[in-house]
Amino acid sequence: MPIRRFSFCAALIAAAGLTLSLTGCPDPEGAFEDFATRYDDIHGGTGTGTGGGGGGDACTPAAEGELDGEYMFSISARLSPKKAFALDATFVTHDDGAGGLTADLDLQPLSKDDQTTDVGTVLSFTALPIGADGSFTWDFGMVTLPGAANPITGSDVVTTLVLTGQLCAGDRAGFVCGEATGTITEPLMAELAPGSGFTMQAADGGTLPPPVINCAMDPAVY
Amino acid sequence: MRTKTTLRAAIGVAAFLTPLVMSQSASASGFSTARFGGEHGHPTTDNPTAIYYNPAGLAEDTPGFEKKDWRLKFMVDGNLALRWAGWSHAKSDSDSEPADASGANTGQADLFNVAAAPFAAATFQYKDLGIGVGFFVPFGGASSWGKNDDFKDNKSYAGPYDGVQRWHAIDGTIRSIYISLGVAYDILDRVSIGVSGNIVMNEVKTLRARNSDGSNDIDLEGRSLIDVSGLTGSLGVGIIGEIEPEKVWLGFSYQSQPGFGENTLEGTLTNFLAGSREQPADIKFLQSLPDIYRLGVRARPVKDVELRVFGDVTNWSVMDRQCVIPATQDTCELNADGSAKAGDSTILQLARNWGPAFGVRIGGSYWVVPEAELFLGAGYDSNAVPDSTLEPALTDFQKASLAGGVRIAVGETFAMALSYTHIFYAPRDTTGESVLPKLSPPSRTPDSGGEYTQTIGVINANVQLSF
Repeated sequence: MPIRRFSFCAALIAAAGLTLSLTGCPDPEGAFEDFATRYDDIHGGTGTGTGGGGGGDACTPAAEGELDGEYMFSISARLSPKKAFALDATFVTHDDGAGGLTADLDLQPLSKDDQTTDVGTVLSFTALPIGADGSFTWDFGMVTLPGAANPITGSDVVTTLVLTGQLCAGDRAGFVCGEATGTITEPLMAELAPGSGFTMQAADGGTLPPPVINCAMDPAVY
Repeated sequence: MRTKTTLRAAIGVAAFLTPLVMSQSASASGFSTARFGGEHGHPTTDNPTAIYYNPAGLAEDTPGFEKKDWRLKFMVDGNLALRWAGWSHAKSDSDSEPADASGANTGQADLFNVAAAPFAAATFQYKDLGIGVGFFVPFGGASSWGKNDDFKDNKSYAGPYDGVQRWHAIDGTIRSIYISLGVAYDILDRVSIGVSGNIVMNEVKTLRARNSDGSNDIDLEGRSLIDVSGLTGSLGVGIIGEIEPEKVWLGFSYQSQPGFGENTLEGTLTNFLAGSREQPADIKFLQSLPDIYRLGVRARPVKDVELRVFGDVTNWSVMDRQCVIPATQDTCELNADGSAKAGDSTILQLARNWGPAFGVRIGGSYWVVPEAELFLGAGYDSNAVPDSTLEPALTDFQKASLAGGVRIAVGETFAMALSYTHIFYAPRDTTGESVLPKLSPPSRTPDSGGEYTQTIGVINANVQLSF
């Protein structure tokens, strides 16, 4: 259909006896494809990334209860990687009896406006596995983040969410980061990955630090 | 279901015959483009354009024509519009423009587009009864903006090549195609009343640059392509009184809103955001189009002269927003700051907040000989779009127009007319006035303030057969 429209438009212009640029004919699909081509030429068809590994130092596995406490939990989506969903996390670990740990995690969404005020309901996850080396993959299933906590569009977000990272004690205690993957189903179908990540920063004396967007601890901008 | 499918197919064919509508704001306010018939399209007309301007005219006789029991009229009309427009945007507080991309979001954007709008109708009069069918495009806008060659083949940024205005419009069309059936009756020999029913196909197809947070950060720059359409209906009613037989006519008509309120268009949204292309998502697009009141008077004080004065009031205040919502949602209920209410998943709201607008036109004809008519016209149309929401995608201005043309007739059977109208638009400077970046997502879009200019030339040609 775009070709037929283009041809008709060109014919119109020719009929008018004008020597014009054919850019005078609207072709939204064509302009969309042109942008995609230019983007891929520049970026090689890959997305931008904000997630990451979690530091270069060796990981010292944590003991049960060693990392328990309150954290600023943030999720940075590639759609707007300089902003982050902020959640107040309560983290409790248990010995799984096989050399690793399990964790219970409560996430209280925080307001997109001040990153301190509770909004929506607490998301609770139990028995999240942590390997003997501290590595983990947590599948949260389908979660709903309220629009009041969404700094990007302000709309409710329904998405599957899988977090991958490594939980370490020692010098790396108090900060966890990794990749976030999943499929957003509302308000629109979209993939989180590549380029989305999460961080957990331990509270300091009961005060939550401001959210950061990546493993380099760059602060979120609102 | 089959009927609806057939109807869509018929209108689809009609839409194919209308690949371009007249450039937006080609004549009247908002994106009204009803210029078919040229100077002879008005609420006291007796030609087939009456099916839109005033259906009562379907039962009106043409002065000087032989009185007979029946008459069949065909009319084909086309407008060819040449549109020049510009938008110059200076950096505002909300604009993002990295040092290595100076001019990506600021500077001058221009377009030159050629567009066409057809009209076709047939009417049949039997004694005091008149019926008609027609096809036309009374609302529409199309634009394809020029490129920013400073960013052609840029090695870092894919977006800015599409022009400074790309956050509001790159390529796009909005139009409402009407297929109309009208009936009129000359009830008192000197008073005709008429009514028309319209099947309206609304279409929006548009591409703009977009970020999820409504910013114009070119590091994240993506694209959103909306392609939606929807069928609805509307009604027109009118009355024409012959104040002085074959000398003075007074007409009034009303065209309802398409769909009698908010229209729901269905289709897809395809996003390419932050480097990832998503599959087309099913969406609904909500918008309201205006109802229109028309009033006119036509007089033939002497045999070879006709004078016309007519005007309209178009209620563009119903165009308060355009809303993109998921297909699973039915309403777009947002907070005053543009943010979504709890549970609302609105994808995008384009704040419009347009106001009512009016137009007035005067014109006249002089028959050099019975077969050759010279006509002139001049008009003014007000502006429907406030400074706060004016954006390059849908512009409007205060405007004045001048028209001149000739109509050649061969007896009562054949007539053809050719005219040219030039529309002069008063430039607008809305720098610092845009509220769009101050709204919260999903209503936030980049600053649309700037200097707007436009001029349009319209060539109108039509042929009428009468038997």
